Amino acid sequence: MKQVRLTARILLAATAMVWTSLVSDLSADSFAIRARRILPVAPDLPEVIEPGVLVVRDNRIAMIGSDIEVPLDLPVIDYPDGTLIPGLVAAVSDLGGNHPGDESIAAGYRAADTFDRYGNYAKFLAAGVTTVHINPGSHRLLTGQGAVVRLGGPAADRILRPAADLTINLGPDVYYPPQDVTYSFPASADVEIVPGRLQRPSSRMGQILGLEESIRDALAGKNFPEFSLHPPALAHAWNEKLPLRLRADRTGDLLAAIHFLREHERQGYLVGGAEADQVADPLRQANVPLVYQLPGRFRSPGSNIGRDPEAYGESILDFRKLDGVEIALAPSEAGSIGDLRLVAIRACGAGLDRARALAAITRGPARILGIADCVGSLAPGMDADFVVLSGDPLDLSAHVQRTYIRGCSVFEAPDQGPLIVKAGTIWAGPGMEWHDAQVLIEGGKIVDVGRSVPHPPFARVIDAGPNAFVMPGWIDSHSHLGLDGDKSQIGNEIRISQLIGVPDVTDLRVCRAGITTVLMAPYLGSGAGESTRTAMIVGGRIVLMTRPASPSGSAAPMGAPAAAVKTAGPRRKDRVIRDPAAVLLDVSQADPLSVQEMLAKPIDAGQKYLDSWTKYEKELKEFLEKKKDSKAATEDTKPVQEETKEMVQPDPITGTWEAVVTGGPLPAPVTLTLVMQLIGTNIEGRITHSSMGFTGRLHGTLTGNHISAVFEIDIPDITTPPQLEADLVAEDHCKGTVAVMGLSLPIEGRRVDKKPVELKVTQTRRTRTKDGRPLPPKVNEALEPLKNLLEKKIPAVVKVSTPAQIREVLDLFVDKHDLPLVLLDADGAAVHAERLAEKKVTVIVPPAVLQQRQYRDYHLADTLARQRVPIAFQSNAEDAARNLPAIVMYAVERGLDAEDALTALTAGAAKAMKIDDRVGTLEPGKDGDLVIFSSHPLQGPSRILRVIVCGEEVQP
Amino acid sequence: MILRCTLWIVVLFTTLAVDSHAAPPSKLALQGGRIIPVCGPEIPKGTVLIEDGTITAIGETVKIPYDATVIDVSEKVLFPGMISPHASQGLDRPNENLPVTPYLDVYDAIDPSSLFFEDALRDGVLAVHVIQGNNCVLGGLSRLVRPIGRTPDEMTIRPSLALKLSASPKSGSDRMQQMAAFRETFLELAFYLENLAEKRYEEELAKEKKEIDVGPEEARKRGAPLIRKEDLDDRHRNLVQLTEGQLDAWIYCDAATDVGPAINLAKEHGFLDRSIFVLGTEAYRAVQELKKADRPVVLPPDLVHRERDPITGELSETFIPEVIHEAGLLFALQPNPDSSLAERYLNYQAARCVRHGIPRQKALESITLNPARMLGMEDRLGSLEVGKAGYVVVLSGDPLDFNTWVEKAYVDGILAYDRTKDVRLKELLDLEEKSAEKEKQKEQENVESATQEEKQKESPAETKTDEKTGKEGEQDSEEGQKNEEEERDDK
Repeated sequence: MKQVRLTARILLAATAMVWTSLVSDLSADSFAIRARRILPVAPDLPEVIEPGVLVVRDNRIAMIGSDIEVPLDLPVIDYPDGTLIPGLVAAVSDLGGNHPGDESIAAGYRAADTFDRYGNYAKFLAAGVTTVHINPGSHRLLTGQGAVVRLGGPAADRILRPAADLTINLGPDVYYPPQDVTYSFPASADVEIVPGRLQRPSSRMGQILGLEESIRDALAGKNFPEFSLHPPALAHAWNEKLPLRLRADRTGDLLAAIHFLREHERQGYLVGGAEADQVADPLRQANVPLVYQLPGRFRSPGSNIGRDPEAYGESILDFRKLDGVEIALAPSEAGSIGDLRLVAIRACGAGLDRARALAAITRGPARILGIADCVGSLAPGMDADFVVLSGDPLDLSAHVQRTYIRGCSVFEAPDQGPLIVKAGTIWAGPGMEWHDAQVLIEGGKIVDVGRSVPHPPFARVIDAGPNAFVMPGWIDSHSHLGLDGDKSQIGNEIRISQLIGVPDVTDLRVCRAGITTVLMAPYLGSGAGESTRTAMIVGGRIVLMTRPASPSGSAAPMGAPAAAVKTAGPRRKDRVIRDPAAVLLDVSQADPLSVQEMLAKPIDAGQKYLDSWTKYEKELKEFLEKKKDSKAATEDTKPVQEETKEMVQPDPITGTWEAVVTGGPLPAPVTLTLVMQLIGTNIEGRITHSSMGFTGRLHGTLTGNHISAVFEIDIPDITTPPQLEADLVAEDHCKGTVAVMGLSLPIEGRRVDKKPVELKVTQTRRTRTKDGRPLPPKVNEALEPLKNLLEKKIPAVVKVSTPAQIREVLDLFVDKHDLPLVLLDADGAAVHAERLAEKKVTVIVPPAVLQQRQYRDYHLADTLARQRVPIAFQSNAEDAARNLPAIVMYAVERGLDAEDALTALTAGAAKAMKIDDRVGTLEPGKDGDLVIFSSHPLQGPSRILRVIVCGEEVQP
Repeated sequence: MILRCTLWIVVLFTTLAVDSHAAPPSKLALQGGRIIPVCGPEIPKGTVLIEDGTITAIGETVKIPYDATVIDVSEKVLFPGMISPHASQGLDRPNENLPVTPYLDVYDAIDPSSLFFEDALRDGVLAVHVIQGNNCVLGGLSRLVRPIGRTPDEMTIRPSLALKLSASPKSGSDRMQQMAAFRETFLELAFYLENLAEKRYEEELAKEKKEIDVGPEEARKRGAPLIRKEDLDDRHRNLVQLTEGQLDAWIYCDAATDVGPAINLAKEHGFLDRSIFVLGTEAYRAVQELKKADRPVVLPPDLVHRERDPITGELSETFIPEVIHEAGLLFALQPNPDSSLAERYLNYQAARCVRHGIPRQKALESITLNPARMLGMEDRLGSLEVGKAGYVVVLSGDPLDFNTWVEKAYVDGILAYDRTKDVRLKELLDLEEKSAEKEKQKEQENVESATQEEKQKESPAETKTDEKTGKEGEQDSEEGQKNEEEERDDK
């Protein structure tokens, strides 16, 4: 029984597989496309379908409508901001060009021959033109047979109508054709040289006469004097009843053309029609359609006419006079078919109504050219030729996003094109609110904000609607996003921003809540348990900050650099705004009286480091100036300095030591030889390791029984000098730890020789290059953040709690050193509100914002903001940062001004973190990070519609 | 001066001519070489026996007749003579002014003294399909020739092979006019034949002293089989041969868009199965249409097509033989004799194909067997096998190695080229050697003169006479002048 079931299941699976393969075969050229609106330009369909769905099956439109259930087997292409219109049809083009023949009547030329079926017509497809008429020339009376072609798709399908019409041109352009010369063969004495044959027309009368005559002769089978292709071709075309395409501009020619058509009972249409308003009645009566070529050109001013009152065609027709005449629009002879939409817009201005203007570049020409059964409108059964526009087709600023021919995508706007966001309200920053405005983002940066912005080619447009509220992406001023709960400290070998990569699910969760930037901070240690960790992070980036003042030191301030990163973005490069963006210090657990002392040490160390760089920069500047002056590099012949140290008397340190390092990742204990000398309380010496073959310098201090020293060894992996901390436990015996690469390893040393060794210290590190250029000091990653802080490039974010701590921190940072300062948490900040407001020190309010003072609830954010203290918000969480909007809503509900809240989330936080050159406001030059809300986010019900980071929409 | 120059040219050509027309040994054995027959597996060490111009034996062990001339080619490579499939260089000018000239024959314009043929020989090309250039509508007859002989007749391998057509516009024309010219030509041909048929029927009746008894339609029908070859005039004779199957059509398609009309034209007039398509650089994009027609193609000398995107401006490159090979089409490569680059060597063109991943065998066929097939000569040319003509190139190494040169070339068993007797090449190489020597000498002289100055200048006149190769010293000598003339000739 069981087996039977199994077989049945296998069979079922097999059928399913066959079925799916069949389905996928069918859907090869089949898909559905959703757009914001569709303008079908079809007689039986509404003018606008909004929103619209179009189903394409096997190159044709299968369904069109607003609420169509898309068949499950079809892929769906979404254009939520796009407008779909039929592919434009150009009834006049210059793709054919004039044939080079001399014949005035030459029905044998076929424009289809001149069409490059493999050509790349991206320039026209990018203007939305999919179908084009090409004619064999407009320089002779009858130039041949026109053709209708598609500008894209497989070469074999491109010619839609190889012989669409017989092209006849009337007017002065065709008068006086050259003589038709036939070359004698072979040119010899007995073969006469035939003189060139004069051809018609040379006047308006002559042109109709010439036509009539040649048609009559061709039909009679006359082909004299020399055999020619054209008379039989004309007879054939005439018998096939090819439509006549008559180009005429002047009233007389137009009337002659109408008369000619009626006389011969031929189908046909007029092209040109500069004076068509003069012949409106005959046109209507004869029911002859007109392809009107709009005068003027868009790409150059053209030539002057002067005072010629006879000059025609320079004013646009009054279309109101032409009611009831079937009209298609086309650019003038000098124009380009890429300007078809411009032509329609101009005609619209001259009295053609919108619907007729759009039809005049789509269904109108399709009907006139006899191809309305497959192109020109969007209706079931028609070829799937359509264009996705970024806006209304008659809006100059709309651009083509994509063009399809027979269901094949033949043009697509470049991927990283500019983006325009339109909305009812754009809150660009505090005090910068625009109504009915637009933002232009190009290359990930904001280029323009205002009532009107440029619409560069291929720009995508998001029209968020009149109620929408657009504002800069929100900033979470203290977050641990991306750490995944890892509370260990990071050494200086890696930067915290290296933890982020392609946005993952947690990043996107936060991003979709509207938070586009976070200050990515390591977890700050708290509580007594952290003191053991202190040892673990020795040698890390914060080594100098954590060294205890005394061996039995109390809770030390923990600190680390934090990075400003985005929650989305294509590459890490785009995601990291700044690293380090702040130096994080924690004095919240410390005794207020020791706060200054604790913080002074890192500041001093940083200052020393900064000074070395300042000195170098000064020297370099001097050197460059000197070099510029002398223009001749002088060889620095200064010999390498050698320092000789004097011998001193034996003491507890001086002599040769053998030290054994054990534990940690070391496979076996390592024995080092240390040769040391005590000079005062300073230790100088040399370190060697015979088997690993490195030697280095050693220097440090002796404080009582405590030795602390630094090994300067040149090993590529070790960027921070190893740090020795040891105590003399007995005579000639010391014990302690050595911190290397973030590890703390036990070391035990014994003095094997008390003899002072004469140290001939060779300064291995030269300070200048050969040509005298100063060498930069060694980069110390541990001190880089502090250097940045002291240069006031990044702020110190100090976690404080009590008013006393705040006072001490303010004294030190603001008053003494004048450094940029941001307070984190700062429960007691309200006490110092006045001073904070005066010094413009931003307070990152704690996530749990409700405080109590004197048994009364109060809201810290509101209280501080009311006293003009700049504030910022934090989540102090990873992906729980997604709840930040709720926290802020609560603050607003508790009294915080909505404007202040928005500022705190954007410009305020960015300014405090000194990243306001990149984010925080919507101003030209800033990153294109913005959030579109359905309405004001902090005034009432509102939801996020879209989030855009670096000009790219973050897909849900 | 001029006299001397002419004299020199005459001397030079007689030497070459004598070389190529020394009575061929009736039996020739090329012994001990590595044989690449192209039609089969390589023979690492073998012998090719040529008797009366035809290969009679090939293999590792060949019984050599006692009276055969044995030539030791050990360490050398024997390769079939390469074939240039489409060349208008042998003509004094490649095209006629008139667009439709089916009555022309390249026979009238082949210049046996053209340096092109000498170069072909030197490059291992032993058969050249001389055909009108691409700047035409319907050109004249082509001819397959060997690059030796004093007259076009002596050179000819196969006369009246094909007509040249161009689907791409002749200069000063456009595609409309080009196609109209074709339509007119064939319409006029039909018109002419109808009239001729009517006339012939009338003539036949007149012989029997009868009046015409049927309508013109019927008369044309009855007269059509009566048309004899001699009734056709110059203008139409070759066209009739084209449509009726005696002539092939070589159709040039510069652009991809020309391929479709070319195929349609050939199909319409019944010569598609005898058509060869000569492609321009961009025409490979019509590969699907070519594949459907399944006709051989001749690739352009420039094997890489470069194209810019009109919107982004990005440049993309396509290696044409790769596309054609993937489509499974029979193709032949063309050299570019006008190029000073390596493209002038057919074996270099084949090596480029191998570099782009085309199998070695296919690449070798594209310069030997494939053109032979296209020219209808696969029973005589294109490979080394018994029964084929003795067109053998003796190479110094592998044909696809760029350091390889042609040592000897045998055309119909005749030694047509011998590198050791290639006066021009010798002079060219000598010149280089000499200039190198001159440099050396000058240096030496400088050293010497320095030492001489120290030795207080013994005799300055002596050093001047030593300077034989120096330009000033050379002006009077005959030899120097000869060198100069030769350089001019090469150009």
